[in-house]
Amino acid sequence: MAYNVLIVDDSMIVRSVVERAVRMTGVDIGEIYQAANGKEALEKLDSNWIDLVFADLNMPVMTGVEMVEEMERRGMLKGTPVVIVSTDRSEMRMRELKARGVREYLNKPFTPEGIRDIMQRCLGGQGGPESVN
Amino acid sequence: MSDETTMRMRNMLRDVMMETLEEFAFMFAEAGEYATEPADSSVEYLASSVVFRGADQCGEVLVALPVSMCAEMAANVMGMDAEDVPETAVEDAIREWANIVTGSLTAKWFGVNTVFSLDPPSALRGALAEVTVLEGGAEPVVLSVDDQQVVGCLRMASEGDAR
Repeated sequence: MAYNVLIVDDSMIVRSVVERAVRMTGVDIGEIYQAANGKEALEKLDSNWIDLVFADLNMPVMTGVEMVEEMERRGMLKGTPVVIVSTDRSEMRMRELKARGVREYLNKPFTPEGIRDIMQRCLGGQGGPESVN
Repeated sequence: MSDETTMRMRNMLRDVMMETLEEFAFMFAEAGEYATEPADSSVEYLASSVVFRGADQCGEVLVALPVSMCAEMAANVMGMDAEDVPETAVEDAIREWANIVTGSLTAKWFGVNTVFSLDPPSALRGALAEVTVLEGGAEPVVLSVDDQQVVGCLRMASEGDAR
């Protein structure tokens, strides 16, 4: 089974690095969609099947927190795991977001291994450790 | 802010810049000396600054690199050759590094139980002396990467003094 991933960050370079790390995990990946803010991400979520979302917090137009709040309001967070990838290291913020239903929190700068470990946890071990490079 | 506190913050900024340059961009830096007129005065710099607010404090962190080094940074981050890096990625790289430096610095200085908001990073091109001006800021922190200056500046104020 191939998984579709959505990467949300206003920085093109970060989207590119996350995409590269996702492709290095060895997990079977279908489509990788990109969005530059929360509003674009919600549009992608409305029109595509997404298995996992990596999202920044500080973005113009719609922040990651606003996107998570909207996903919570629409009841989307249980079915679509959201991973926050941010420079914001506040544990209070992490706790608040996890209480809302955010699955994981990854600090920038991150390693490909950090992305791999999170994908294994969020996708229920699909792809399996033995299949990960 | 006392001279001792300023010195501690500058040291922390220096350490954070070194750590994050290595982790984010695989670039290795050592302590350097500040010269507003580098040996090659034609070198164009790119600077990015981030304003942060929280814990009744506000401040601004600015980092500056030669433009050629920003291209190298983007190439390292994206895993491609510098000549293949799109122009938009060059500014994007330093903006993201400024973001990472600011997030890491605020967490180290104020602790991880404080919530800070970070404004979107700005970017500015020009000569080193022009782009590294932070009004009311402390003396710049200087690193050296391949004999080129990498500069960091920090300005702190109470919330009421936010610009």
